[in-house]
Parts: sequence; C-alpha cells; structure tokens
Amino acid sequence: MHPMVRRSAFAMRVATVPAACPARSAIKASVAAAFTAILVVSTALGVAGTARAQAPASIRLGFIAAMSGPLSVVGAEQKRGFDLALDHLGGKLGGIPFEVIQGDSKANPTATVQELSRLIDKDRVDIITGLSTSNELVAAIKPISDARLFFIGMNGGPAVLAGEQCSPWYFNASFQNGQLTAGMGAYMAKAGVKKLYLMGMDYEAGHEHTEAAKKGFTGEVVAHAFTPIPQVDFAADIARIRASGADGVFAFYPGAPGIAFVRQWNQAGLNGKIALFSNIALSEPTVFQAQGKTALGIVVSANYFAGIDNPRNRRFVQDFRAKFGRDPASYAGLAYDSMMLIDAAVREVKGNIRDQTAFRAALRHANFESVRGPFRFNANQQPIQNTYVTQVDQRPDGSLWLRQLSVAAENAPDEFASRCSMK
Amino acid sequence: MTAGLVLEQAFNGLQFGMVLFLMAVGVTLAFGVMNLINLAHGSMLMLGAYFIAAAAQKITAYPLAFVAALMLTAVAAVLLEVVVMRPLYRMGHLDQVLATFGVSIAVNEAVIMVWGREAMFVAPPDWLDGTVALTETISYPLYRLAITAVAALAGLALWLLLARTRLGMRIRAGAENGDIVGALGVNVRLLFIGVFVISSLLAALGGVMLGPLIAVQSGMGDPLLILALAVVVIGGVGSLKGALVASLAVGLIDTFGRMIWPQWLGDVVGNIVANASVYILMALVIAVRPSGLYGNHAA
Repeated sequence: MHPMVRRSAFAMRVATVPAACPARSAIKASVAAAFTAILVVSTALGVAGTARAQAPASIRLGFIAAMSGPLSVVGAEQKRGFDLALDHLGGKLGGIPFEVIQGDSKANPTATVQELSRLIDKDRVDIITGLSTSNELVAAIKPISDARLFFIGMNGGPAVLAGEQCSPWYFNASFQNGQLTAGMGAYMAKAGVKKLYLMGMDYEAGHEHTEAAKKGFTGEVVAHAFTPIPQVDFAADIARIRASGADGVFAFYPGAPGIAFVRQWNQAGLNGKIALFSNIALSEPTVFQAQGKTALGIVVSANYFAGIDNPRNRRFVQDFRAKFGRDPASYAGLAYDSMMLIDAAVREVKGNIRDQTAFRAALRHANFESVRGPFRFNANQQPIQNTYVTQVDQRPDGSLWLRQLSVAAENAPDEFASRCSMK
Repeated sequence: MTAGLVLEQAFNGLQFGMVLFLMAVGVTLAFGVMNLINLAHGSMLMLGAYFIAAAAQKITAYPLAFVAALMLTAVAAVLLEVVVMRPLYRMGHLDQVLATFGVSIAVNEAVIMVWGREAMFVAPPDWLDGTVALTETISYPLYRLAITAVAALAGLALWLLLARTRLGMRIRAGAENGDIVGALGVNVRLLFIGVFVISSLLAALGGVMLGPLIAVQSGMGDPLLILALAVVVIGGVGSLKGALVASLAVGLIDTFGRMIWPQWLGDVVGNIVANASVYILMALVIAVRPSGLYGNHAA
C-alpha cells in the first residue's frame, strides 16, 4: 500500500477517537448485551428444536459457495452442478419438499463465518452444504459443529480436518487434498520421469498438493519451488525449469495463474519437450476455452472428470452439456454428488433428520450412486475413492476433453485418517 | 548459470519491468499532476485486455483490433474521469482510495456481467507466435520480445510528449502547481482529462499485450497494480524517471532472485526471500530515502 494512503487512514482513525463519547459507548454496551441475549435465546431454541424427533414438513438447506471474488469461477460451476441436481431431484430431497437458502463465502474465511452465522442463526437452516476452498473450510467447521448441524463439503479437504480436527458434523463428499494427486508420484516415475521439478502456488493447498505428488516418486526431485499467489508471469520460473535439466514438471496452479502458466509453457516451446503433470486444478473444463490448444497433452490426475463411464455420470454429463454447452468441471460433478448423498441419507431416515444419530449413520452409509464411480466414507468421514490419470485431448470439432490414461489409486483412503479420533 | 541463461533471464526481467513501467507511470502521473491516488488503475489494464479479446473476435487484422481496443479504453477513461474522478481531485487521499477501490470492484463486476466469469482466450498474432534462438540451446518467445519493444517505444513516446510538446510542458507545469497553471489561462479540466486518458492508455497497452500471456478475467489487473504501487513507492511518488528505474530494478531483481536465492539459500528459505525480494527492496529504499529514489514530494 501507498505510504500516503496509510498515513491518511491513520489520521482518520485518530480523528474519530474523541467522537466516541461516554454516552455512545453506553449505548454500544447495551446493544451488545441485547445481542448476546438474543444469541443465547436463539441457541436455546435451536437445542430445543433438535430435541424434537419427527420429520419436518420441509427441509431448509443452506448452500454456501464462493459466488463472488477471485474464485467465483469455482462457486459458479458448483452452482451449475447443484442446480442440475435440483432438476434431477424434482424439487424434493429424499422425498421431502425443501427450500434452498444461499450464502456467498467469497473464498474468504471471514466472509464465510459471517455468512454461516446468518444461515445458522437467522435463516435457521437444517443442513448446510457447499464451500469452495480449503481456507474457508478451516474457518467453517468449528462454527458449524458448535451449532450441531451437518455439513457436506463440496470441494477440497485440508489435511488437518481429515486428521486431528476431524468433526462428527463434517462429511467431505469431495476429496482430501492429497487424494487428488494420490499415486501420481509412482505414475510419473513409471512414465519415465527421472528428474522432477515440483512447483505450486504458495499457500496451504499448493504445499499439500505438491507434497502429495512427491510421494512414491523414485527419481530425483531437482527443485520444489513456490510462487506467490498473485504471480501471473512465469517466464523466470520456466527458464529455471529448463536450466534445471528436469524431464518432468508437476505444477499446481488453479484458475487464472493456471491459464497463464499453461499458455506461457506453450509459448516457451516446452510442449512435448518436458512432460507437464498436475492435478485437475491446472486444466479442466472451466479453463479449456482460455487455454485452448496450449493445454493439449498435459497429464492431470482427478477424482472426478466428465469421461468417467457409469450410467449416473452419463446422464449427468449429457444433461450438463445440454444445459451449459460444455463438459462439467469436477466442481460441478462433486456438487451434484453432494446433493445425491444428502438425498439418499434423508430418504434412509424417512425425512426424520432431527434424529441426528440416525441421520449421521445414514450419511455415513453414503448409499447413493456417485458420478465418480466407487465412493464410501472412511471413519474420519472423508472419502475412500479412486484417483484417475487423464490427459487433455482434442475432439474432432476442436473442443478439449480429458481422456483417461489409467487409475493412479484405487479405493484409496486419505493418509491422515489415523490421526482422527472418530472410529 | 550459463551465459545463455543469464541472457534469457535478463530479457525476462526487462520485459517484466517494462510492463510494470506501463502500469506504474500512469499511477505516478495521476498522483503527480492531479494529486490522485487511483486504485482503479488495474481496471484500465483489464479493460484493455477484454477489449482486445472482444475486438479480435470481430476484426481479423491484429493491428486494427489493437487500435480499436485502445480507442475503446480511451472512451471508457474519459467517461470515468468526468463522472467519478473529477470531484475526487480536491478530496483527501482516504476518500480517493475508497472511491477508486469502489470503482475497481464495480468494473470487475461489470466485465463479469458482459463477458462472464470464465477467462477469455486471446491468441497472439500469428506473425508473433514463434521463438527466436538466443543461443544454440535456448530459444526465446518472439511475442515477449515484441512486448518489451512496444513498451519501450511507448515510454519513449511519453518522454517526447512530456519533454518536447506544449501539452507536455503544461502537464509538467500542472504537476508543479495546478492552480497557477489554471490562473494563466490553461484549461485545467481538459489538461486533467488528457493526463487521465494517457495514464489509462498506458495501462491498457499493458493489458492488450498481456492478454495472450495471462488469464483475461475479472480482477486480472489488481495483482499488477499492487506491484506497480511498490514500484511507485520505490521510484518516488510523482517521478517518471523514478518509475522507469524502479520498474526495471524490480523486474530484474524479481527475475534473477528466483534463480539465485534458491541456489544460495536452499529451496525453502530461498523461495521465501525470492517472493519477498520486491518488498524487501521497498522497505530498504523507504528506510534510506523515505521519499523514494527520485521523489521530491516530502512523504
């Protein structure tokens, strides 16, 4: 920030201090007291509400995702999968009419917590689903657990929430971060990579994903580099990669930086010279248009991609294409799955979601057909699932798609489950 | 490091620095002449990129699309100056920061409404989509060389405009003392519109050229604006020479830092130092010269 800016902001703060007269602070205190009273009463009512054990006439479902801000592409794609699930469910959740109350998490932990308290305290939702990023999740699970509401996560899973801080109220229907890349280390070694260059965005997920890619890799790791989140020019890093003599690169760059990285990689003439690996964050249907042909040949791992062959997914992909004119990204597929999971669990308890023990057991059964193929919950309520290896390929009409090369991990749990106390 | 690699990184650093210069010079001009802190400057870069993306879909000849994109940005800049910026010139910096930050959010949302959330594709012109051999083993993207050349030409044109024309003389005079220039019969309103449009065009030029390199999507200019602000602080607020020197210094230090620090300090510490190097430089400059390298406004 600009020094002048900081100085004026400071001056402003100094100027407002004398204005806070004693009368005003008294008002503030009483407002705060009233607020606390309301909170206490509403929490008590909430507890009374959960004690009643009968099927509600209608379910209030909270759907929260990053609908604005830098990662709104993710939230918008989740919303598409969510909406298609609503179409397929015909307006009922497990046979019960339901109402959707939306929140915007903005990929920002503070906004997430504010929106959650609105959903919980004001809108009185029964179940919450959604969220788009790992940093939102880390902030969200405690307030949701404190409110004794079930949350079904649609995207991402930081290690700590799968391990030490696992919660009986949190079901991750997407992936633990490491699972997106599980088995890629061994795959890259098998594909003939001798010298691997690891790089990623410098934040929680960047570290977790590149660390996961290293597992099982038998060759030499020549570098493990991180670039700042706002960086969009990778010329210096690409020159460094070339100079390192690496014959394989694993790069974790979701969204805009991923588009930039792939284009610049191509412009530097490295396509086909050095093998480029990643997980689905780097190259998937929401960025295909922007990456264009520069993405051809990139190998990415994924727990969901549009080409998975099963009846449920064929229907989902066909209807998604008809509605939105392209393949669904994993964000949409996982959002769709989350809704089908909730639907199955509500059906299993015959709509009696206020019996939380039974509803938890029903969620744990995960008795639904997942678009990603095999799916079940581990003791830590994180998925046990496959990780697929795919490659960006081109259809005759020029559009891009992900072609399956192999399965990198089969029915695999995450590696933090043993640190979770739930059994 | 081989000589070829040093050469390649020097080109990279120079190109990065020149793009930063296009951004920073607008920030510093607006501050120097109109006393305006403009956090919506990144929006002009974004508009340039969106306009070239949209124009390239309608017009096949790249030079024409290029000119069209810049003209559209100029129109947007005039509107923005007249409607939003003009009343801000006499207000405090905090008001300016709040108002222009608000403008940047509004423009970010506006492009989503027009073009959607997902990034747009911009191809470089065919005749620039190749590589040049720097050494026997290293080839360099032609497009990046073109960016450096165009940015250098734009900088030269700006210098000629400021140093050799009557308009430039008035702008320089306006930067010294706007009230006196007004009292001497110069139409200060028109002068300010001119400066705002020139600043915006330089940022948009950066956006037009970066379009094929980075993701054209809402908010794309904001990370570059942060770096441009660091450049302006290092170079001295209001100083054009400072903006040029600091841009090149930041470009080269950042680029070579990415090579050198991890080699000297290991991956972990090296990464941290490399990512922070621009801000370390900024802190050092502020500590030694609080008004920046070439700043004469007491800050």
